[in-house]
Amino acid sequence: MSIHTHIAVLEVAGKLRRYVPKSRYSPKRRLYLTEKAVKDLESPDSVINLLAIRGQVEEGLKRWVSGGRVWVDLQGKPRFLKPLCPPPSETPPEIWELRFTDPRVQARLFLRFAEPDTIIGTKFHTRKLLGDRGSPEWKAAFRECETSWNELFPGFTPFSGKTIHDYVTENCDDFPLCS
Amino acid sequence: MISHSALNPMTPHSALNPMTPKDRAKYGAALAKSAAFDAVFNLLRRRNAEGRTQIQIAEAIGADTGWLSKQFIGPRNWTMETFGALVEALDGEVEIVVRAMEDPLPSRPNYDAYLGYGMPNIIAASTKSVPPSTVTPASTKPLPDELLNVIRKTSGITAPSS
Repeated sequence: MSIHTHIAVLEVAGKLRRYVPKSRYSPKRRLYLTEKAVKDLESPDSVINLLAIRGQVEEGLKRWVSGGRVWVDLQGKPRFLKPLCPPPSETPPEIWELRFTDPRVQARLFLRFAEPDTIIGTKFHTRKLLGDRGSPEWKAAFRECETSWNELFPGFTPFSGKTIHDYVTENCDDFPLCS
Repeated sequence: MISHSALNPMTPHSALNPMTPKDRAKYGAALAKSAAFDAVFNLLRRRNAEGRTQIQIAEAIGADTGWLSKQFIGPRNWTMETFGALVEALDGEVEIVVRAMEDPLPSRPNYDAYLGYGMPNIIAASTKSVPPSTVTPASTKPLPDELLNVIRKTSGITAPSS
């Protein structure tokens, strides 16, 4: 079974939910949310809703799905979609984040690429709770992303490319991947 | 309320629980900030590609490059003054268009990223056999065998060979 078909099976089973924003335009990229991630968005008790940032978060999700620019800042740093590059011995590879930066980085969606332009968002995290890079909370969040992937996609490895343009095929600034 | 299917005949809108009015307000504001950011950043890239430096762009409006860099970290709550100043620095011209969600597109979309990712026949078959209430709610549990069997039988898909 291809990962493409497996995604469809998971969607039928209610394990993944595609994100389709209200728009006049058709989606240009794909985003599937796990049940945990959907709960993060919907539950009144979730941190996203307690911080009252669901509106900002959904704007970022819409940017992704509608094919909006994946940008780097004037110094070339990725500010919207970013590969997380920990030491390979400590954490699993191919974990990325979507960053919701308005008015500052408050929340992140941990994700993996299933295919080019297709991301599986496993869980939202708040910057405050994650703490500094390398904190126990960071490592736990990495493990949780990997565990969610393994439960949903047993036997499938996340998509891996050589340049960012292998992952995001259109409207994406150039930036280096993890070395 | 406008039906999404009326807007986009290709991909049905898998609606989440609706946002609260306050969230909708922030969502709308975030979309506007994002649109302004993208529009100005696109012109900045073009000017850079044409050879204009960030120093020249900043100096055109009496600003410095540190301030300019800060404006392009990400969409932010630019005042109209900042927005207009940046456009002027880039020798641009502002045109603002706000469309009604139900307004037709100039041409019918010929691409939908989700097209081919759904399995309408399988969805129909599986929902007949397996009521939604029986779908395992927790993502930590494996898919029910009976559901997988329904899907495989309907689609002719075989189990992964891993």
